[in-house]
Amino acid sequence: MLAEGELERYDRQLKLFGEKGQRKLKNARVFVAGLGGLGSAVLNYLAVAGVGTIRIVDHGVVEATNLNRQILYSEDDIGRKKVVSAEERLRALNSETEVEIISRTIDPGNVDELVGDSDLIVDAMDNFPARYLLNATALRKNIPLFHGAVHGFYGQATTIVPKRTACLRCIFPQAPSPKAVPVLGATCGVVGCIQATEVIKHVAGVGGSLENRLLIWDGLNCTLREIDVEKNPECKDCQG
Amino acid sequence: MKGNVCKVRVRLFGDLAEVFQAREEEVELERASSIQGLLRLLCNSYQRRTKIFDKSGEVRSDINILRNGRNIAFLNGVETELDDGDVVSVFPRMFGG
Repeated sequence: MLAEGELERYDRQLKLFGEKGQRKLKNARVFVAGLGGLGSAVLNYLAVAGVGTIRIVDHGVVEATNLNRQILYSEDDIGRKKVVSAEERLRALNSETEVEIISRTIDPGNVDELVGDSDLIVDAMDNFPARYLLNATALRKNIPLFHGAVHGFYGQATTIVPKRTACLRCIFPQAPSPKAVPVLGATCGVVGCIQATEVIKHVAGVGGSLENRLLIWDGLNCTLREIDVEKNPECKDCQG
Repeated sequence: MKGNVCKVRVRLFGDLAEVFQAREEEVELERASSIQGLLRLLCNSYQRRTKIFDKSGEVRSDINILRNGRNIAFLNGVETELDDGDVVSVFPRMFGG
């Protein structure tokens, strides 16, 4: 049963997926990797939607160059650990959400432990080596991965469900060379909100999803298009 | 398919749609043409060529190409042959967060 305060707080979305869906959100454990532009958008909406437990991982410190897109932070946060500022922000948004913070770099040796017993992974990273680690971990733990990435006015998102869909490496077998990319904050907002919507629907058990579809946002022309993707039997991560 | 030609649908995403001034187009090719042949045909200007190919003539590492939903890296790379009705999606790899 939801408490009276929860019924009031979530009134507008209870109309979408009922108390049962809301309880599922309350019981969900979500792992969010990366507290940049995408992570900022995803986390704000997961917290206010009433996700019960959110584990956030990022080793970074807030810098002035983050503030054009990373809406978890304000000017006063410059120099502070991102996880600490993010935790404060998320608790202020929803004191009922349990926020677990980990200020570490995700690497092959710790990724299993960091993800722990989370129900799903949100990929809000800024590089492909880390994304591949999350992809492999999601496959190993048999939990879904919600991918998003941005560049300038453009963004992409897809939802990966082990055994059912193409995995991240099926779609992107090779990592692009790392470099600082231009990003409009609003692009992160669009893509992060798509990821958050995918997570909420998945947990609440409503609607369709971006399974085997790569959604491409073109902010310059304000269009959303999609590419059908397929598993690859030769994929070294999922073997199709 | 008529005679020795086949038609494929090319879909361009992100800034590629700007550079090629098309989001989607149907391209007529000789039968058994490859992805390489298709790209050479499309890249008819310096700007287009440098958007797709690097200095050594290889497809740039930040360009992703799917044939009917499968990454060509898992097929035969740029030598992957095209059939009538194939859909080729070309898009930049995004990795920012």
